[in-house]
Amino acid sequence: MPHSHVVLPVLLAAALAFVPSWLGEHFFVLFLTNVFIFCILTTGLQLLVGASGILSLGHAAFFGVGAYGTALLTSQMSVPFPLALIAGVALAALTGLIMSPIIRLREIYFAMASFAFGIIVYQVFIQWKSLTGGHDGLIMIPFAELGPITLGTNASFYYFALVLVTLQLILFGIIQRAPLGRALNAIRQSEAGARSVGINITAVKICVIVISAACAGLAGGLYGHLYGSLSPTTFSWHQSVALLTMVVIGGGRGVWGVVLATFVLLYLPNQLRVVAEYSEFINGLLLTLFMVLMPSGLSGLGRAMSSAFAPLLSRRRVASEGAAQ
Amino acid sequence: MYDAIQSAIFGLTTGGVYALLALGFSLIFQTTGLLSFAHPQVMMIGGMVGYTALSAIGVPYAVAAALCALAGAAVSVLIELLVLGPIQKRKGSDLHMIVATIGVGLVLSSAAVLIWGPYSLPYPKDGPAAEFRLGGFALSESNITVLATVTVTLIVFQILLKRTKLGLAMRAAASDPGTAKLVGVPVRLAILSGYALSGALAGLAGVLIGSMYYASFDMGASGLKALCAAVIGGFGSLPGAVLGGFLLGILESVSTSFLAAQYNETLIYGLLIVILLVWPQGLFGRRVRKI
Repeated sequence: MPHSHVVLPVLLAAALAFVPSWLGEHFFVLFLTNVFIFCILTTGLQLLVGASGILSLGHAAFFGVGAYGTALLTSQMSVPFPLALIAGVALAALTGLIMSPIIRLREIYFAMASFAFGIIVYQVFIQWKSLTGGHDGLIMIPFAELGPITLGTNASFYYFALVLVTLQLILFGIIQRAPLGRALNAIRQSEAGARSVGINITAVKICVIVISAACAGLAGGLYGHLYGSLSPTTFSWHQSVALLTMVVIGGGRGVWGVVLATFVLLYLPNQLRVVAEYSEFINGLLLTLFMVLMPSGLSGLGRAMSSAFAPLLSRRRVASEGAAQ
Repeated sequence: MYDAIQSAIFGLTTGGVYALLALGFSLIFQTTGLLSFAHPQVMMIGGMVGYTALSAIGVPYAVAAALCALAGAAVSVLIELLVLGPIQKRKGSDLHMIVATIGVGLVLSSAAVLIWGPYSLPYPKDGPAAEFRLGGFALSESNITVLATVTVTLIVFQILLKRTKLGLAMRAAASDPGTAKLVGVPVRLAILSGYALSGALAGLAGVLIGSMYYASFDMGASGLKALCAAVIGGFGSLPGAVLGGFLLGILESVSTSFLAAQYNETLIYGLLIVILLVWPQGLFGRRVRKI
């Protein structure tokens, strides 16, 4: 399909748009809203980890900056929600920009530095009690208001998050086909090669980390207003690892594996008590097993299956293989 | 000034533990080029095994320490055999390896909760701790035990690495695995020994922390601070790791008494980033290759 990067998200969103009218005021609607928010987060992280090979181990920091930024603006300074959300996104993007000197470091040093960065931001959330409420976090975050509409009930917030996640998926599809996406592809395959054809690696990486941080900020701004409260533990190292787990299990460069993994990894603990109780253990086991057995994740599995069935489905492939021989 | 020196003396003790951990980080990096987030969890296993050995079985301290070192070495080698080795075999990237070590770390810490429970486990103590005075400065019994253990361990480590055939093989495998293999060095064995050694050091660090404070499933988080020590010394440099460990311990202790303990993590991880940015080769490291 020529425009699959636009058509697929729109089709999925259209299908999902029926869920609230079908279920009504159901907890599943709230759950799906949460999934949308996490999809914004994880597909954003995927742009760093999967598409560019930059291992960010402190991604919850950007999530938290967006969440606290937006929530503080609406609750303490009565800034209208849309403006506050934009400010939260900008703040997270700025935090991403702060990371830009670090991004020039080699892979494992960046991993180390981003890990340290995540811890520092988490410490700020805990220690700056007058602003963030310390361990208690923030409560009484007002309902999000979008002009005349109050995004208080589950359904209206659901649609707002659905629109945003769809727009983001379309944007990412466009990015992948744009010069930036092709530059990322080149960098992931060979940094030296990319540089030799004139790609400014540092600039591209900064661009990607800012986009990724902005997405996390958006997710944060939504998250705080969906639940009406924030706790600093949501933005700890464990959250960074949980996000990384979703991205790694999703795998590949595209977004769909990550979207699926995000849904499954949020759905299982929600449904099965056992999974929720041992979630750390299960996350760790999944990370390890996928890295050892299936490093390309779910989307790699999908690709392997489609290439296994491809000769049956597509004549073009058979023909091109024949031509190659 | 007196307070500063006193807290620096206490800092030397935690510094010694950081040194053992940082040495493990650097040893793994030197032999395999890997950053292992599972390493501090190996330390935690050491601390827990130490608790079981001392309180449930009741062996003497020295035996418990040896058991912890053995446990750490075993866990570390198992991680290599089951997880990291297979990834390296199929030429997985650094990214895959680091993510896998994070996964292993989670598995270890949550397994520890299942086995030992989510509580702090203080080691059994016989009677009140004796205190010694040295030129007006106080030194507790556990300070001395820890410093003595660290010193002996570092000496044994140095002899093992510089005076034995195994040490020679390890150094050869670290500096150039391809050539080492060509001239008949058992590279695989050398790498496994590297993991065993780093695991043993971590296990010892665990029992030392346990004897000073307590053992608990989440003590690995404090062990990650040793990463900063390894970076101060120049990541991958063994003497640097030891010196960095002691420096970090002193820094932490002095900042605790003059600033406040709750800012320690921010300070240490901030230092880690600053060093990576402006002085990536650290005290003894080779230059960090930038893009």
